[in-house]
Formats: sequence, C-alpha cells, structure tokens
Amino acid sequence: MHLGDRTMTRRRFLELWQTLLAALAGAAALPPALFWWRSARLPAGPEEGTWADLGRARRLKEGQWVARSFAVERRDRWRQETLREVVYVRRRGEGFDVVSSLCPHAGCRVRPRDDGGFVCPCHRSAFDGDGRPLEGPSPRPLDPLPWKVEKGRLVVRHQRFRSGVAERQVVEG
Amino acid sequence: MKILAAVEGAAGVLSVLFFALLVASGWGLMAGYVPSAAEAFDSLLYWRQAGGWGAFLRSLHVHLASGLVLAGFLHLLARFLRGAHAARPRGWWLAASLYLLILGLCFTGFLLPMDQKAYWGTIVRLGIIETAPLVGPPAADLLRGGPALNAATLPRFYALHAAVLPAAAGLLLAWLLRPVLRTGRQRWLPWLGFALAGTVAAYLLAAAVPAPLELPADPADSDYVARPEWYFLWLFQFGKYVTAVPWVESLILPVAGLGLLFALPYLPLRRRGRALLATTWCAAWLLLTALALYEDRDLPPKLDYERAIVARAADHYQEHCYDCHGLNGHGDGPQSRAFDLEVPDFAAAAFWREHDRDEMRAAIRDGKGEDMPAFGDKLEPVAIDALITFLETSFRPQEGG
Ligand code: FES
Repeated sequence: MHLGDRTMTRRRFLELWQTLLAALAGAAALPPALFWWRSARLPAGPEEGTWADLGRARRLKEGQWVARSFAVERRDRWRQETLREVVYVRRRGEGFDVVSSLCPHAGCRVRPRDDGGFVCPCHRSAFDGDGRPLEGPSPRPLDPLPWKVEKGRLVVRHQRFRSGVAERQVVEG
Repeated sequence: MKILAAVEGAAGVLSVLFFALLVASGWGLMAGYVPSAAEAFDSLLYWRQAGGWGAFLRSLHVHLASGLVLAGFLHLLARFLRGAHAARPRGWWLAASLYLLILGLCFTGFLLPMDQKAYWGTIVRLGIIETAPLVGPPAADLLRGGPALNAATLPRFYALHAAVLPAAAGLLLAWLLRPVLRTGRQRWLPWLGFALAGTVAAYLLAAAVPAPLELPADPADSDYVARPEWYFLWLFQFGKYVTAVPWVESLILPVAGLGLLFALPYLPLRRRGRALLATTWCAAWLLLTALALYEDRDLPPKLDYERAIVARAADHYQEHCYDCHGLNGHGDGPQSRAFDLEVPDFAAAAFWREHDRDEMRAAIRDGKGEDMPAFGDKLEPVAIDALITFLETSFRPQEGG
C-alpha cells in the first residue's frame, strides 16, 4: 500500500506538471494570438477619405473611357506614403462616370477594350461599357467611385473595395 | 515495389535535406533583408547586384523551395503507391500536414521580395481566398493584417515565413523522424552519400542560375499580368472552367482535396486502385499545367530587373528621345530634320570618347544647350541610368572592331 500510494502521488505530480505546462503554453500563445487577431481589425485607410484631382472636367472626352492616374499622400499605419492609383473616367453630358480599375474578382487591373467595355487579364472577367459583368468570375460590376466638380476640376474619392464578394464593401478610403 | 521504396526513401532524404538547407540559407538571408515595404526590394537588389554570397543564398533558397515542393510530392506519392499510408496512418497524416506547411511557407515567402510578381501574385491569391464564402474574407484579413494590403502585411508574412511556420514544420519533422531515428532500421551510409550529392547539385544550380527578381512592386501598374508559380498553375487553369462559381476553386476543391488526402488511409484501395488514383491525379495535373502554359504563350515574358529596366528604357527612348535623336541615334529624328537642330550622333565613336556617364546623366536630367530639354521630372534617376545603358548598348560602335 505504501508503495502504491507513492506511485499515485507521483502520477498526480506528473499530471499536475503537465497541466501547468499546458497552461503556461496557453499563456504564452494568447497575447501574440490576440495581437494578430485584433490588429487585423484596424481600418486600412483614413475615415474622412482622400480626394484626388483629375484635372479640368471639360477636357474629358464625351462618352469615352480614359485612364487617369493620380497620387495622394496618406498615412498607412505608421508609414507616410504616396499612393498612386489608376481609374477610368468618362464624361456624360454634365455628369461623369468614374470606376476603379481594380477587378472585383481578385484585384488585378482591368483594361479597356475596343468595344468600350473592359477585360481583366487575370481570369478573363469581361465587363460592358457600363461596367456590368458579361462573363468570367467577377462577382459584381466594376466599382464606381464618388466624384464631384470643384472650380471646374473633376475630383474623385480614392476608395478600394473588397474583392471576391458580391456585395460592394469599402475597405480603404 | 523495391523501386517505390527507393523513391520514397530518396525523396524523403532529399526533402529533409532541402528543408535543412532552406532553414540555413534563410538564416543567412535574414541578415541582409528588411521586411518593410519601403526597403525589402532594395535590400534584395543590393545583394543581387553586389554578387557573392548574398546573391548565392537567395538563389539557393528559391531553387530549394521548388525542389522541396517536388521532392515532398514524390515522397508522398511513393508512400501512397506502396500502401504505406494505410499501414502507418499516423506517419501519413504527419507527412501530409508537413507538406501543407511547406506550401504555406511558399505562399508567405512569395511576397517577401516585393517585386511585381510578389505584389500582384499575392494580391490575386488573397483575392481568390476572399471568394470563399464566409471564411474567405476573415482569413484574408488575418493574413493581411487588415481589410486591404497595408504597411503591416509584409511584417506579418515575414513573421509567418521566418518564424511561425518553420517552427511548426520543424516540430512535425522531428515527430515524423522519431521512429526512423529510433529503430535505426535504415542503413544510413548510402543515404548520406546521396544527401551529399543532392547538396552539391543544389549549390551548383544556385551558382549557375540566379533567382529571378523583377521590377519593384508598382501598385499603380496597369500592364502587369499576374501568374501563379508552376506548382499552382493547375489550380489557376481549373479556375478558368468554374467561373460561374468561383468558390469551387477557393473552397470546395481545397476542402475536398484535403479531406481526401487525410482520409486516404481509410479508403479500401488495392494496388490497382491506388495506381489508378495516382495516375489520374498526375495526368490531370500535367494536362492542366500544360494547358495553362499553352494559353499564356502570347504573354510578354517576365523580365528580370536588369533586362526590364533596359526594356523600359527603350520605351522611354521612343517616347522622349526618338523625335530628335532618331531611330538609330544619329540625331536625325523628324524634329531635328524639320528644324535643323544640333544633335549629337550616338553611333559615332567620338561621342563616347568625349562624354562620360556623369555628363550624360546631367544632360538628361537638367537639359543641355538650346535644344535638349530637361527630363529630371519625368524620369527617375534609375530610369536615366538605364536610358544611358540603353544608348550605349544599342548605338555605341564596337571599339577596334
Ligand atoms: S482578377 Fe480579374 S478576373 Fe480574376
């Protein structure tokens, strides 16, 4: 009995150690895991949005898409950077159409086609002249960007959207 | 059967060896690499252009990664064909998990150079992940460190690639190798010679074939066409056939594939069945990969930094210089002929004797004389240098020839 008691104690002792070790491992892993999880939930861009000047509004051709690039200063987490972006613009009478050039499927840049539509070189999503998907894996039309005319100049808001989902969701800007 | 056992052993030994060499070369690379979007590319370009061990280590690391993907696959294949997966299911699961970790290491390591391929490739991969309903977006956010690519993305990939995943893979590997090392059934000596030969071959390859590095990532680029690495071309091609339901590629196929991989030990497969399954898989892989390559035959080739910068210089020449300097650099472009401008002849040996690189750099940047405009605000210093290299290689006459 004496011997048995001792084995029992020893096994208990080992079990206790194992539990302690597991708790220790958990305690070590929890803070980094929480940091990874929580920091991924920070928004990516400034809340107020960044507006970019696309030049004189009158200069744009009526009814034809043209590529316009712009650069905006912005803060990306700890980094101050110049973000460069390309959008497609088309004048329609007094108004404009502005769409993001990033493909809603997985984020490649789409290109204009001769027929007035767009095509993506990555997985062949095609869009008509109004950005509606014709074929390919794109889950939604090209993303329109907010714009306004200020002192005769066309200004657009820099925005990016989540790719791969049917519902448009702003993830930046 | 004997052959299969030999393949299993050889591919296994090679995999372990490659893994060890990858860890070692990775430690070396960590001493010269900065995981920051602003500096990652520059740090690698610096070692590449300096030549020597830094360039060698990166080449070694990149080629070994491809080698490990291949060797690991052959090992799993031979294990399965021999039926060893059903005889020792635990070993199979461990080996399969290890292989998945290796693919994870490839995924995270792919972004680190921050060249065009890395940037656009990762954008697309994360985008594909996001097409998986419900689980996709949070998974992509967790990897990226936010809903869009941001300053924290590269550090996260680096942490996974250089610390978290290798540690996990090392633990699994130790676990997997335990029975082998304990029983000591293997006769080690021939394997050791084999491993030595593998190391030498890898070193020679790394010395002979430098790892590719393209132009630095340009998020505003609208010409670059992203393509996956060779071992994922099949999935890329498969995705083209299920465009109506993109998540077949991003969710159904991976889940079904993983399920099958881990359930294999339970499937009542005889030798014929196993051979049939393996052949089907390999044939489908080859076919899809070949189709993907074939359909991309017209894509412009992905150029390395040095060549891409010269190609871009040729475009710049067309755009900015051709009008005056002319097609062959004689200074006889349409403008100079129309207005009778004083333009030097790049094809004359005398020009190259009288002007050095610094002079030309200054002339392009700030303009020169009456007629040469300044291009300092249109062309970056790197582009100006490349332009001079372009002039030299295309127009300068061979001395003494
Ligand atoms: S990214 Fe445009 S079709 Fe896939």
